[in-house]
Amino acid sequence: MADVNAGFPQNKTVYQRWNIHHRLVHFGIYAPFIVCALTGLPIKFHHKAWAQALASFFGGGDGLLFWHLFAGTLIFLTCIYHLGYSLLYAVKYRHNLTIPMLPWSKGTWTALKQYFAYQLGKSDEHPKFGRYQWKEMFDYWAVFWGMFMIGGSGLLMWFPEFTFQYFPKWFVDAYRWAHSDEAVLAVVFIFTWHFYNVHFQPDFFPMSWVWWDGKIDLETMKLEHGLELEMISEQQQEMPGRGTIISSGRNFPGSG
Amino acid sequence: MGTNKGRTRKAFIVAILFIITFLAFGPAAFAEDLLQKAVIINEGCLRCHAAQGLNANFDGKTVSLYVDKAKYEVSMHGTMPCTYCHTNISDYPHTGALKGKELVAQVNGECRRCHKDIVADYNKSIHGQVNSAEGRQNAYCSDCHGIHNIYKKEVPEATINHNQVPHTCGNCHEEVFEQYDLDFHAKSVLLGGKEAASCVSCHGSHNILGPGEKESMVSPENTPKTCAKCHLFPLENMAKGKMHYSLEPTGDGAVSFWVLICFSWLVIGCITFVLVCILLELRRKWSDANKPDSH
Repeated sequence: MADVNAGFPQNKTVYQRWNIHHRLVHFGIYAPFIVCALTGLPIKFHHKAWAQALASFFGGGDGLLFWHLFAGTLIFLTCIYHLGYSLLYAVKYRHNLTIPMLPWSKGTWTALKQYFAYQLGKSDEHPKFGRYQWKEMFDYWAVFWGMFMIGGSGLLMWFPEFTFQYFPKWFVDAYRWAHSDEAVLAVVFIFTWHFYNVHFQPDFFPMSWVWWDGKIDLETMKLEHGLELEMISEQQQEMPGRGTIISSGRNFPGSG
Repeated sequence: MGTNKGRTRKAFIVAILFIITFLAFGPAAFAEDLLQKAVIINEGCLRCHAAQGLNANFDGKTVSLYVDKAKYEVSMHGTMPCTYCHTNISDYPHTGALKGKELVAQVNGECRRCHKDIVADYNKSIHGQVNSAEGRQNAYCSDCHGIHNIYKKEVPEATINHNQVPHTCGNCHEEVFEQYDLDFHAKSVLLGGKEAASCVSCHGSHNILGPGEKESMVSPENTPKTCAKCHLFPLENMAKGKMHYSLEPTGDGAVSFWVLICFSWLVIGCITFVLVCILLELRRKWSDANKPDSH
């Protein structure tokens, strides 16, 4: 096969930000999330004409629910996969474990202060983010919270024979409101905040390709994860799978 | 000339042939005759009543006398003569014509001539009881089944179609419809689902009783059994609390109401915050891009 990168500069330093597990988990959340949103919103706004049209596309009220549950199950499986992967990772590196996704991990607070000072124009020092910026933590823990609000209530509604052995009806009713309102929050949040951060913001448009090949180039790395870059340079290769440096990486996104 | 025995056999064969011919074509011819009669009668009626503007002024109220011919002809009773139900009309001008309440009562009285099997259930039901305030039954046949638009329940347009039932019941039970409308059953049914419960799935149809009565499908004793028609096995909790609630700060829907309020503010708060962040970032990028020394 012809090299798609022929003619492109090949001397860029590229970091492997996400391994295949990270990318699979991202895919396993976002693809079913879109299906859940497409099949769930018509249920919440069932009087609207577009809701009726979407419902008939998915096969009426019953088809809508089938695909909603199908996609919901996929999200559950992805979460189990992620928790299992994280657990194995933690066991493997138990002697030298840092979890950069935790909000109190090193540098988060400093970077947050730097971020607002920078964005408000009070300082010209660009914030130095660790492996995960506060935005990414926000997104990640929002999914965690969402799994309890949406996933938990979803399971209770899916299996009423189980639910009504332990819970009264008012509880399930209220939990269902939480389900759909939290879902609306998630949809609006993803399509404004997350889409701004990885698609629409001028540095990344049309998108950041980390989700596809897991690779990020040096310039972006400096801007978006400056602290992590410093840490990697200090203890290179100590924890494989995290920010492993790939020299002479390819920069064409489709070839990853 | 055959023998006596041979003649008997011949007569027997002729008789058999005659019977077969009669059985094969007789009922059809008879039905054809009725059909033909209906066509002739209905043509006469519809000569005037198929006109959309046909109105009459009864006691100062303008009432439409229009009948949708196309809809009527494909309805369950479409092959029957109009006079089958409008029994007191046989001449023109209509000397025996009833109007308003009397007309509705008369026509609904005619249903039981054919639908005898329903009468016993209906008379016992809450809809069959006479409402003293209105001086009529709580619900006539036509209130649920329609008038000239009566179809089998499999027809999507039928008032008793699974997906239409909530609207049909909601014509009178407006408040309950609004409450049911919040429920997942309602959402599924109103989006075209066939599996979720409509009103009649839980409350019954011709045998519908008030919730205070023990035999009612939705009495506290029977509710778990009714739920178990779909939900595998009966559970006590299914009968606890109100099935239909309103989203109000007090009462059965109070918890749901406050959950909704909290989440609405959570949505407003979160989205406002991230929109402010986005605007701040864009402003910073804009001012950086306009600096002479940038890039």
